[in-house]
Amino acid sequence: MKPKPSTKKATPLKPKQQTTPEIKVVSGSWFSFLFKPYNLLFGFIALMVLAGLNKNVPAYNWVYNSLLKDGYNYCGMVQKEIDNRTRGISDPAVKRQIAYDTKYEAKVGTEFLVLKEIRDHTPPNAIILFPPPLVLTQKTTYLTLRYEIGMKPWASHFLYPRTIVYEQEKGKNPFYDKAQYIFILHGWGFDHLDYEPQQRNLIDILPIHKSQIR
Amino acid sequence: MIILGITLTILIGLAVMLAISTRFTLLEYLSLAFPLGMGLQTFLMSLLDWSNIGITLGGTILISLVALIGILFLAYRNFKKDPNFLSRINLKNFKLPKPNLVWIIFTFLLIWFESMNFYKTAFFPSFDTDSIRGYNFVGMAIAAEGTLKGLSLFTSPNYNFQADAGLAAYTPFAQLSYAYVYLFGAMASKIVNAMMYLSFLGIFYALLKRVTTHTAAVIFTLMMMITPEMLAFSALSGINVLHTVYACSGLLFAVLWFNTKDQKLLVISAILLSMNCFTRNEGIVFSAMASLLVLFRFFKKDLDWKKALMFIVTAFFGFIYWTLFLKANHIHSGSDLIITKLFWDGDKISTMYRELSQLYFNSQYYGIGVMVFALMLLLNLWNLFRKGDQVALVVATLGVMVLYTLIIYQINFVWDSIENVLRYSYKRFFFSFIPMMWFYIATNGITMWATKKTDDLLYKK
Repeated sequence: MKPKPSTKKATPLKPKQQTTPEIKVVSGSWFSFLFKPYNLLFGFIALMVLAGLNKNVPAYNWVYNSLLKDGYNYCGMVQKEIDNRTRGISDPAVKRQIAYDTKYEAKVGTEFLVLKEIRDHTPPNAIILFPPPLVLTQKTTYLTLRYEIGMKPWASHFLYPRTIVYEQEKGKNPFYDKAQYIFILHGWGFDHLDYEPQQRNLIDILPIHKSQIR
Repeated sequence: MIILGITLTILIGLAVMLAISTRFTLLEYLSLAFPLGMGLQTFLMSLLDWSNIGITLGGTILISLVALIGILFLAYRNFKKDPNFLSRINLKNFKLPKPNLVWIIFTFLLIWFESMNFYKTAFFPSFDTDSIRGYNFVGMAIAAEGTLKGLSLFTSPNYNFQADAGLAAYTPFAQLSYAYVYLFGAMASKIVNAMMYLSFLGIFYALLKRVTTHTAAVIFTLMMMITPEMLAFSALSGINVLHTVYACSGLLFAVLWFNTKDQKLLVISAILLSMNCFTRNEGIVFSAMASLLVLFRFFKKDLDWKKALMFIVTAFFGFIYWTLFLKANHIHSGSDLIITKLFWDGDKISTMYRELSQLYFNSQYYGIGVMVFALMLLLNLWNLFRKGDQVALVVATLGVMVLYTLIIYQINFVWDSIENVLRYSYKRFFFSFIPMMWFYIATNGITMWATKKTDDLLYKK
């Protein structure tokens, strides 16, 4: 049997409800949007999560307090010192050099101060004889230097374009015999001089040959 | 003068971006300009050196201007094809969604933290041992002597930079970029590191924004940024963070291309990966991984062979070019450090396993990044295998980790013990995986569902 055709009028379909919520940017001012309940709730959760991370993960606490905050404040302290040292100096090149040296002094410390003295008392083309490692890193009450000063590229960085030769390179490095200056340290090095210096300081930078003395 | 140098670099980078496409976002143009510009500058400087012209201030400015004009010509052709470009990037048409409280909090923290980090990075000259005795020293000397291949530090018998693992054969990006700023009169080179990390934050946000919401993008950019060891090293002059910037950006662009097939992403990926190879030799693992993604699309017939080949050649170009440069100029780094044939060494494997397993989950170095990544990977296994959710990203992330570890295994550690290298150096190699992990944490199925729901609630009428 054939099914009877329906006599009922087809009722128009209701428009389908959208399954995905329609996202619209909330109307009204930006300020009032900020104080909507969900905004406040999520903002509060975000702050709690950040506080939790800061409290429970020591590394994040270190990032915020030591690495960033202390690091930034330390820059401020060094800048103050630079300002003090450059007060009354008008030459920008000198100012820049003082700033550069002060920053290295703050970061590298004693080793830089020693190398700076050598830099300031030798010409740029100087070849400088340095003591052997045991003398360089000898611990004394007045001066103890870190091992880095015994690494040639490290020390050379602060003295470039000057050339450094170490005592232990005798017979191996052609620059050894050409050395013009000597880094006197803890009394080491006087036997390399061909003259008697006016003073025998424990730390000094001296020309090796008498002919170099002006 | 240094402002001129930085501006020139940014302009070249912008020109490169525009020559590729006029359809990047404003943030992508701004944040990629410096890394691309500096990468190109170092390449041009090496060309000046190789051609015996010398790396001088005048030469560098001149070759930069010539390159800029050439690239702008290509960019002009793109402008002509896209007349609406200028009106599109006009700030009047720049629309941000109404910022919610979470976005404001995280953006504030991101800007605050990065401003402190940027300031302290640029404030101090290089002071870490590796840079003082290496990268920065060489950069300073290149600027003074006008050459890399004939540098007194590499040729004089007074130094042993060409000994085992010596710096002479290290890829030159860091050294040349430092030389670049010294040429322009800088007293210190750290502005390069500061600009690179700042740019990376912009790139990471912009890439996340291509996939997820503004809110999620800023949350995960901040989380990536505060990875403790990486943030600490971003303020130093070492090459690991510079490598991370190029490696991650390049590979992430390749992953995004894989998912969207947008050609401009493939081009920018190839260029960034090439610069990555110019920053660190191990960069080839990132190029290799991206090339595998490209080959997959090629075999699926989604990409023609010319483009696939072009990508692979470009992605490895930095490595190929540098190898040729070394050979042509007789620069070496002592004995062969890479063992070219595969071998089995049980002791080495167990040492690597012992050291690396301790390293990976060290929250002091990487915060919660690796742990959350592992957790998300576990929770998303269903999405990953059944729906293929972010498969390319997971394969790329785990793939580069495996390839990198394989390279470490194949290295002949003649200059130091493997334990020391893994303990003190590998922790820095690992930086390049961290942003990849955070990208996955931000864009996996579960997080995407959660961030969408959050945005629905925040912005629902």
